[in-house]
Amino acid sequence: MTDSSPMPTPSPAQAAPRRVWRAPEERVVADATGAAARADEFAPEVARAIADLRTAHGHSNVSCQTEGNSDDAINELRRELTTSLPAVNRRGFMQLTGAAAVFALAGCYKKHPDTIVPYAHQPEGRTLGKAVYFSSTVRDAGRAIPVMVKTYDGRPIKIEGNPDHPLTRGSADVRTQASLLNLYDPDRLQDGPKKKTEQGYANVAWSELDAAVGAALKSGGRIGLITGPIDGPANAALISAFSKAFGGQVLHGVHDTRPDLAFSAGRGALVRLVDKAAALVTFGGDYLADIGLEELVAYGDFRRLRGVGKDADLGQVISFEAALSQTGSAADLRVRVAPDRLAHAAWGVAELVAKATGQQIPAGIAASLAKIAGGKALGEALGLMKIAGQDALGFTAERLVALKKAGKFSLVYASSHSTARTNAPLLLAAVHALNALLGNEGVTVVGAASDTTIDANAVPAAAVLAAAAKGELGTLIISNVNPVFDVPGAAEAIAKVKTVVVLADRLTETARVAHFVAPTLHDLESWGDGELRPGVLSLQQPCIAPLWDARAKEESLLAFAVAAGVTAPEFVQAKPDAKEQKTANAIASGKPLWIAVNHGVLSWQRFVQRVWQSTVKAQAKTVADDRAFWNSALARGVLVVPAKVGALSALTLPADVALAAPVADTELQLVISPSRVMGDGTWLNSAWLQELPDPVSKVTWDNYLAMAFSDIQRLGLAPNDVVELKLGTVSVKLPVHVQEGQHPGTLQTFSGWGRARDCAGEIANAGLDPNFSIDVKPLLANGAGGVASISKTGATHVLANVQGHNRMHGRDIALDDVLDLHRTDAGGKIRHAHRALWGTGTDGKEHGRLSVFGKTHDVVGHKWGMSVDLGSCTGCNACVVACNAENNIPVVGRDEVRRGREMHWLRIDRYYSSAQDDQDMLDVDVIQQPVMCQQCDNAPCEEACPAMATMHNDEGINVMVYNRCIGTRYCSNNCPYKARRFNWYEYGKYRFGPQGSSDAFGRIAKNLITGGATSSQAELSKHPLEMALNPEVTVRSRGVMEKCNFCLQRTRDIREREKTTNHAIRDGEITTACAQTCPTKAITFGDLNDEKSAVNVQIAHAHGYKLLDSVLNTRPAVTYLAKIRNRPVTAADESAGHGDAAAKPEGAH
Amino acid sequence: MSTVATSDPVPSSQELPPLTAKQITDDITRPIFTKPPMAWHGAIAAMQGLAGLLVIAIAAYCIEGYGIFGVNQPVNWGNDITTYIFWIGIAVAGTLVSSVLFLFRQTWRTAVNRSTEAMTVFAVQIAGLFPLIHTGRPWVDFWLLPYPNDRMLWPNLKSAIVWDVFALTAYATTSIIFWYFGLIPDFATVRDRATNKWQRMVYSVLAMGWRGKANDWVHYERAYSQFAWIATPLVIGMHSTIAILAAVGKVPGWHATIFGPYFVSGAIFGGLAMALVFLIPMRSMLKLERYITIDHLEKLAKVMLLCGLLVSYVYVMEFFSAWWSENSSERHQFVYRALGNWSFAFWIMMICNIAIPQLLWFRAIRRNLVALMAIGIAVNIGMWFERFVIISLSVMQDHIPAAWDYSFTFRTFDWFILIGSFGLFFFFILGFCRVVPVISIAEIKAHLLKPKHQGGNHD
Repeated sequence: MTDSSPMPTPSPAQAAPRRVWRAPEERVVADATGAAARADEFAPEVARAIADLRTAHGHSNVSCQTEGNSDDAINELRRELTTSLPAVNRRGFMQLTGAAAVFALAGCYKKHPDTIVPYAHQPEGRTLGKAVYFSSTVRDAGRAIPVMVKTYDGRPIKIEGNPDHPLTRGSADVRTQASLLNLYDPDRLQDGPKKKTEQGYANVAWSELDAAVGAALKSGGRIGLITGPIDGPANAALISAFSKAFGGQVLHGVHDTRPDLAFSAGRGALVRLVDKAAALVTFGGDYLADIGLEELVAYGDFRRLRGVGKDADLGQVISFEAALSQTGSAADLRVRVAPDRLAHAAWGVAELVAKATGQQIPAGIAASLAKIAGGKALGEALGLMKIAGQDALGFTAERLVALKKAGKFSLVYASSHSTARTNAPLLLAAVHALNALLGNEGVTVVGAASDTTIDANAVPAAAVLAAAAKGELGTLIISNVNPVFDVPGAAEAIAKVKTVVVLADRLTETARVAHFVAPTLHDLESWGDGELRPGVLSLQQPCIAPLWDARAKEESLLAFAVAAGVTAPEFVQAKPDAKEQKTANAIASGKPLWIAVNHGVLSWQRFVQRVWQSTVKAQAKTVADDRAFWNSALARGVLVVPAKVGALSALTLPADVALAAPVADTELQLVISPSRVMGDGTWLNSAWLQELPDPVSKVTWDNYLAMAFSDIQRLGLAPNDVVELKLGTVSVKLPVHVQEGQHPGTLQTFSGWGRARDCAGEIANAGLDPNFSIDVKPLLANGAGGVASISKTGATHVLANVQGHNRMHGRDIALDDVLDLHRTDAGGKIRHAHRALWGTGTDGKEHGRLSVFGKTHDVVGHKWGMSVDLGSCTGCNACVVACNAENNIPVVGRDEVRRGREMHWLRIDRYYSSAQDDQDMLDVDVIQQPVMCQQCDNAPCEEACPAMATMHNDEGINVMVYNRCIGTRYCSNNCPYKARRFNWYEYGKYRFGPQGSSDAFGRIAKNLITGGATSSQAELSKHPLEMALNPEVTVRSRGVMEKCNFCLQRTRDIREREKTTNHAIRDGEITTACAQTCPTKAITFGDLNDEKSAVNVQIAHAHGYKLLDSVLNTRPAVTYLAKIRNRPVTAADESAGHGDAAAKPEGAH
Repeated sequence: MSTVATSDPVPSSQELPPLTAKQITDDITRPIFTKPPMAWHGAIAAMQGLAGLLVIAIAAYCIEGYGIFGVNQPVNWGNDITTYIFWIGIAVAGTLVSSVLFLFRQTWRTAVNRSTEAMTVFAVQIAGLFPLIHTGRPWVDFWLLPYPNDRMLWPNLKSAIVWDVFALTAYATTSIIFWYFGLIPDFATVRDRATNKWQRMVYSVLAMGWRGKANDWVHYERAYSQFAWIATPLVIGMHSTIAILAAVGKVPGWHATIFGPYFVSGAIFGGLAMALVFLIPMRSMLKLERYITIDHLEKLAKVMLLCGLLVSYVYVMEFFSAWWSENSSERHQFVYRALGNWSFAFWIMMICNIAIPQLLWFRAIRRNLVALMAIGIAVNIGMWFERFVIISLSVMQDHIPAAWDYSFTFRTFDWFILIGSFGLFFFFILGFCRVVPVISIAEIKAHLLKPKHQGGNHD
């Protein structure tokens, strides 16, 4: 303030450029005029301000008159002002702002784009971006399922049913579809054959393997051969050629793990035709889970509601069972029977039927039944429920006899699992007796497969194992089955054989006891054929070149025979033709693959082709030449030839046989059933299957012990407690699951789980828990009658259950109705439900549209819609797997399922309801309801999304724009159906593996170190699993919402075609993955604007309704058809909607 | 003050030097110019540590994904939105005190308005953080803003989230400007007293060249009043918009017309409770008992009681309307809240928000600092649980029972962001005490130095 020296005049000496000035003195100005102008820029204002400032601070000695101030004074004041704002002048401010902007921008980066390179030379018949379909066959537990394989650029991406197949009609089942992952399973053997050494397994060359096995085969001694079920002309021809080549030394055993096999009770393979029946009665077992795909398709026809009004009818299902099965959950009437009393119940029905039809049942059985009944009605003695005031046995017998009298047929079924094993043979006998008494034999139960395709000399695998145990076998070849896992004691038997060769795709339990392991190909990599039913043949062709150094199991047999010196023409091909050689070279050039022609062995492809061009062509009685016949068979994949159906062998029952008395009610009886999802455990390494909920319990990723609620209370247990389950001397540990509908005193657990460590693969290993052993096979070995004991271990294991709540709380969600009421008033219950809130829409129609604008969402052109028939849905999950495969849905793992983060776009909700006030939920009505995005016209999600990432397209589909999604999840909160799924993590990274470690800290640390490239999850998504991705569908990134969009890629694809070819889309030409695959055809998809479309026919049904629409006015595009229960009407049914059915909604009429 | 029975441990004003302009300035600016005690260092270090948890959680979320938190399907919103609404509620109360009471000429607000506004500013920033970090892809959060872009994309103006973005940004901007604007004359005072070079530099920038001449004051007063007029509807609008976010949803438990006033009164209720929680220790720590008197706190407590009663009314009405609706989902929702597996949250809310505030009917309790602070803490806990019950419990059990899920839980990082947000808030508050005059020096002088009010009750 005291410094009054004038501002220094710029001089040339000071003109050295200073680019930054902090005080006016430092400023260098070139020309005086400019400097003066700038100096006076703010002069009057500055002066005034400074004066004010000083006044305010008490420096009153400064004059406040601005106009009269000299330049010097102003300069002084300016300097003072500058010093009161030190360090920050205009330029400094700009510098800081610039720096801030640079730092802010430094945070942004652009992802490195990937490059797509087109074909330099496009292969013939291939168009980039267009899928190519191949017909083929995939086997599950020996069943040859005909499939169509969708491939992109030479890699299969989806397995679908073969629409030309007369029995499966385009459907596919769960495990067949999921076997796609098995093809790309990184845990398959990748580097050629192995030989057991002291240290473990050593790699050997194929020639070395063949020489060793050939020498063993030549060295004499009997040759054991264990395979899965053999069907298909080429397969049968190979086995018989192999047997013939070794002069009858071959003992061929068939290892069959199909659960329904026991049904035949020694009468050979049976064929059941439920679509020809009017009623299905099951005693234990699980018809829907046990049967094959073609039977499930027939079941759909059997259960679909036919006719309208008084003529409405559908097949009836009555289930006698202890544990709630998939069949029991679909049944119209479910009668709880303790496992050891199933045989009594079955014979009780048989006795009544025999009496009504004037026939006899064995005297010993009749006597033991009378003894158990003790003068009472048998049903009462067995403690069975009453149906319509009548004994359950009497009701069932009456129904069956009535059908017989009306000239209709029924089907009675049982399976040996889920019953006490002491009575199992007699239960099966009862079922056969019933079918015979009712005249079903030859109509709904027909004989064995045709003679031509089955090896007549085959014995059960048990016989081969017995021979091995006795040391009778010199060599044992086990082809693609796993008896060591399936059959207790098999390992010991096999150990007695000098040379054991296992053909397997991985080091299974059986492979681990072998001397040599020959890697096999996946069904989609190799040739073959199958025969689903006598005369219905399917051909298997590879859809991809072998991924690893492995060879077809059949080719291994051929090579072994050649190495053993067999020179028959079925085995040897001295000189390959030029084309064959060229293909072989092409395939072999990239990697070390075994090529038959290079070793003088007839290739398996050539073998199949020869059989088909000779035997099969002759059977087909076609006039086409070999080449045309072969090509057309390959293209269609199926061929129906006339076949002789074997007659059922006569049923014989010893007269003096008696039923064992039931055990006391206080005993706990154990039932071991095959897993409804995993089957025999072959597919345990499939993440898709692991994450698939059990159709009844909805538990994923684990085996469990199902118990009745009352038992859990009685034993002082809690759900998820790990208990020790003891049967005889063997015990296993399992977590407990409360199962509604379970008969008190019954325990149920499932086989197929618990493959030994590293025998199935990494995903299966994730199921191994140190707290318990989920493999229940040891219990099977015990042979005890089934009376088990359990004790608490103190450990707990939380089961990953995808369903939160099992009851509807009186809400109109999954609706059902009773047939008799439906006949008199088809939409009564639905109408009742709809009247709950809105009677009339703003358009004046009953249940019409509601809109404050009076407008409706009319879509011109196509409007896609769907109908779901709850009556024929069995909850089998085939649609869920189809959706997984089609839409690249990630697997999230056990931990994430526990947290409620499963990603399935399509889920099947299962509700229990019970008529009485039944706290234990014993006699439950079960209903399965597939729920996908309902594609609401008034979509609550769309108005929620702040970024417009979800909206309606012009075809009525609610679409997700993943790129636009921020991930606020408001849409999901607002979705009343909870059909939306959120990518909580980058699930795509570890799509096929479990979530793994829940240790977030560890993962994050690892991510930081590795730059996010690997995490414990990523390691579980090994190459080449990503090859299964569908390139038509975006792989969603972390943080975005996703959901069902009616397979938008499919509707788009066909619509493009419609545009370019100007052909209107035919009804049925577009279908979603779920509708396409559904075995019972419960789902129908189509154009709602096409009046004649199949979906409109379904929607028109009076028992159709839209989920929650009556409450929320969401206007979904999905219509559910209520489940019609074919059972007597109860008082509760009358009050639930039909009681006031006559009353019409107000304003409607 | 001497005429009032008080539990205030401060000596009555007669024993203290008379208030002069200099004395007031000295008292209020003392914390800025004196070295803070060790306790303050310890406290701010502890709060920094807690705030560090928030930083860790956010880093973990950015690296790993939103899955690190306990949310799931169907509980898509858990701790994130619950805590967001909690902090917004806190923020709302501050502006209420400064703008609404200003417009109603409640001059007693002068004692506390600076602090409650600071509370608003800090809480609104912390609250604003939560919507940004609750998204799946935080790096594209800016898509919520309407900005011109070559893809012709625009936020969905039908979405309540977008309304919320507008409300929040408008509210945050206004409250920050309002607060800062009120601070300008005081910053100038501090600048003029500052001897330290850095303090001079910083406060001179903050004071924006304020000179305190009459013309400045005229503009200042006029603008201040206009800000108050702008801020008042925003107080209502901000929290009503959040209420609408829930109310327009189809979730049973959200879909209610009462939500607007419900949320606003709840916000004021919780915000005043939070104000008590930090004002009581702050006034004693900074020795400002003569300025923030027990009477002021009592007045806050009275307003709090009123809002608590409004909230209680809504709690009861919600049950009534659920029953009246005859909607099974709606009815189930309220039974579930009271008796379900998360019922403890509901009962904490009922006890803390209905039962405990009834103590405020008693004058002795209203004037008991310990009791007031305890009630403030209880109400804060209750209000957090209220938001949790509304947001998370409602979606937990909505229309389709099969989709319910019982596995929602608080995981490590949920605790980190919850505790971290409190750490950050108190870190800000502690910092605020030491760098900003916590009472408006200019305004308080005007009120305290008026002759007729001297030494007496100045309301």
